[in-house]
Amino acid sequence: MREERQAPDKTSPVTVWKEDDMIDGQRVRAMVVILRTKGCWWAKKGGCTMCGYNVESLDDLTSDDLRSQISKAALKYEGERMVKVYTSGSFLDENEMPSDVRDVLFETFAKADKVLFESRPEFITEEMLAKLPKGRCVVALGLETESDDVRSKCIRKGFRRADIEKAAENLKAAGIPIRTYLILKPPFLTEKQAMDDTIRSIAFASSFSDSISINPLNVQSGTVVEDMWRRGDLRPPWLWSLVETLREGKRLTSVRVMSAPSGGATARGAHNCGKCDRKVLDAVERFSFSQNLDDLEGLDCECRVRWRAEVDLQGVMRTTVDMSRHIEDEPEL
Amino acid sequence: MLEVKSRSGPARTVRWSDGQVRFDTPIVALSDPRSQGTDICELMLASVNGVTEVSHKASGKNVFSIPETKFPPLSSLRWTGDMLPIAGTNAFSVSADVRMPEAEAIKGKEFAVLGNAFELRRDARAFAKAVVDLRRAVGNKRLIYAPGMMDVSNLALLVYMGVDVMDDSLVRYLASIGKVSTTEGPVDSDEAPWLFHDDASKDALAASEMNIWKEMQLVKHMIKKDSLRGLVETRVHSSPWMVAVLRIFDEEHYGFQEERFPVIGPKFYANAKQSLFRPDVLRYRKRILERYSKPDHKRILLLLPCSAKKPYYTSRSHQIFRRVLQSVTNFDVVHEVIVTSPLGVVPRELELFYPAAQYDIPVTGHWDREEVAMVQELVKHIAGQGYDKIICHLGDEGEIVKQVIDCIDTSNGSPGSRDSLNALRAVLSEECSKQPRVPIGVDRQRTLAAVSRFQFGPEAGVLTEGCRVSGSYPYARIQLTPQSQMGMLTPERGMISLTVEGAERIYGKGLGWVKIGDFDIEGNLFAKGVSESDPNIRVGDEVAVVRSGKVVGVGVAMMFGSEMTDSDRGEAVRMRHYVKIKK
Repeated sequence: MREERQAPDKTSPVTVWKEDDMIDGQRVRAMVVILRTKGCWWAKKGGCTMCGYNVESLDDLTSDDLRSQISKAALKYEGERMVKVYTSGSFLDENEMPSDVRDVLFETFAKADKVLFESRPEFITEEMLAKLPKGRCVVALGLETESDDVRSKCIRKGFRRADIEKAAENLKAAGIPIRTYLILKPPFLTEKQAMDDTIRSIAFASSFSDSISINPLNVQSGTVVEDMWRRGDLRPPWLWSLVETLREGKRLTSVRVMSAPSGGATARGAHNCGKCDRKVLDAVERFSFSQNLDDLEGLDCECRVRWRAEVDLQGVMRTTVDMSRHIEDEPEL
Repeated sequence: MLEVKSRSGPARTVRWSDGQVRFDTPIVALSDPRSQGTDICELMLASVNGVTEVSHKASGKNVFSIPETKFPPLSSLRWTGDMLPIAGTNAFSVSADVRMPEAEAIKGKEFAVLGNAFELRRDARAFAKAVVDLRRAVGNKRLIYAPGMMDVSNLALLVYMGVDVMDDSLVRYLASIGKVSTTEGPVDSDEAPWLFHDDASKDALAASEMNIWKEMQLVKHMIKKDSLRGLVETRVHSSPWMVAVLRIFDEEHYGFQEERFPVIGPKFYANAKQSLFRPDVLRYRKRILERYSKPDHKRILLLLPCSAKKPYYTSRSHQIFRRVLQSVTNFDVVHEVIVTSPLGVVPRELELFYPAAQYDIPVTGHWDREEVAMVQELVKHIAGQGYDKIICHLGDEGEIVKQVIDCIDTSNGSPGSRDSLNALRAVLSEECSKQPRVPIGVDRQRTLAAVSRFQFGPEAGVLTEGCRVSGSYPYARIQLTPQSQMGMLTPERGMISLTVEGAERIYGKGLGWVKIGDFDIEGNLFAKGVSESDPNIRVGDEVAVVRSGKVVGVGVAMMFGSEMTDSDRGEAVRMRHYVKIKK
């Protein structure tokens, strides 16, 4: 039984942590702040199949609450060169992040060279960008995939590739670097289709991106994806698929391609057999900073055979369900 | 182009041909066969840039291909249906909820690909429904391909239900995790080295492929022998899913199966619980309840046990019963009815009919509740047709019968004993003497009328009206005059075979009919020549061939009714008699 959720504290950020990131080819420390906001407007319209971030959002949240969250986050700030602010929606949506609060945030983290935030493309207008401090922003675009078909049918993202292209144009004109998020293995794609889709998307995104972050599907609470996963009708990608995608994708571009899989090595995230997951994730992390393909070489495990079989066979079997979970239901002979 | 070569229930062997390229279904398309030395593969399966391509191995010719698409699972079909169906080369794919594409989009495409097939392995009800819906939607002129679900153990079941084409993808997946696919399910090859006794390579895939080949040969053989149902009843016990599929197929899709089950067939064993619900067995019981009415001069019901030997009259026990019966004056007022599982009751005059003359069942004296309920229902039904006396001369089943009807028990549980037979003779003598005398000619004519009613329908008793029935049992000729015969009953056929005159008499009274255009019949009638057909026709049925409203011939159906108008090739009616119309 799931425990009743405690009423969230509106005056505190969802969570804050530190990690490494890159600025201009240099590895730097970054502070990550997840703010609780009124939430993503698109999520209120049904939202994306895999996104459960909206569970942290609250309709009655005020600007004062946000200011309080920012000052609490500031207590943990130790001068990291990069601050990444996630709102579970669009940072540039003034309904979520009022302009005065946004200004407070930039002031609070004045020491950070770069502040990275996410926004849906509909808010990335020339007028909006003009309001941002020059030279300090990095915008993350959730393109997910270059394919409008996959984005609309498998993700239900609610915007088209052309919308991202327009946003990217505006960002370029404003001199704001772009980090593009791509999904690996949205629902309804086979392991092979998923890899091919992401590799194609890396090639597409490299024309306007300063870095490309691959997000393997992870199973979040309260999502369509979670319903499917519980039934065994979906499996997050194998880490082998992530390695393959990074390797093939990187060959196509000089742009930095990285991945820090949420829920990696767990059943809800990208995972392998359990024996090799750590080793593979470490290699992915090394590669994400080094961009040296050698870091992805020499990985092996007995589970690769099974991965290979799924990659080769799901297409002819015309299924995207978690094959081993379907098979495991049967007794061992 | 397709031509059905043989069938066994909903299963069939179809010859696919395109010029010189041909193969027979059911068939398993193999990708990159591992087995050396044996040519076990006629169809090759390949995935080229996401497109599944199936080609004829010997000629290299493409048979069909189907592009990739999004593959939403069953559980999401409610809101993702618009992603499917899709069309490929000579093929199209539909999701498991069988939302068919526009007719124009699939025109001329011969292969229907069942979506979500792998997932249906854990939803028996959805699988049975999907296969039935798909077959109904695509008709007989298309082949059904179920990708990614065949694991050898279910091969016979899939074919039985009407799947024509399968592949080895699931078997390959299982081999990749060290499992050899067998008719009993996937076996861990590490723990069963004997699986490879003649294969030094210890290759799980090669061993599995041999098992596919062997099972496929057996299945084809069983279709040819029209005995696939028996093999399936054996095979399904390898998994609860299969047992469930067969039960649901029997219970919820009886109509679909019954239409495809011939009214004739070879001997079979009713060994499984599910044998009680074989469509041909269930159809027999339904016809007793719905079509059969006893000859009205039969006033005394004599219930007899079944015999292992069929037809019953050829058995020693029944010869003894008959001798006792025939030693009694006016015995023609006695109606012999055999009590048996899985058929319930078999009136003597129907003992030649399929499946009464073909079934065999393990006899233990123990009856399960379902059998008891079934036998009681049928015995009550027969007894309710109006007899002055009921004599129960049964074995173990006597107790079951006596719970539901009032009768004189002459056997005391051992019908063959001298005492029982004497008691039977005494009761029969007494009861028969109370009845008005029935001349033998009346008995035979009215008995054949009952046979006709069972075979064709309640109105078809007129077949014997004014006729004399000649020939010694079990043969019977129905003659209006010495020159004009309506038909005859033979043990070889197990039913009445009609003449044109006989067919004319009961055309419109239950006899199946096939309408043809304005041409003279020369030999057998092919599907191409059929313009309209009675949907009630089953394979093996007598049918009248009708031209411009006139019966011009009679023969035996080689296809079921709706198949005749949904086939480009093949024999529809094997003609026995036909007349030409002089112009």
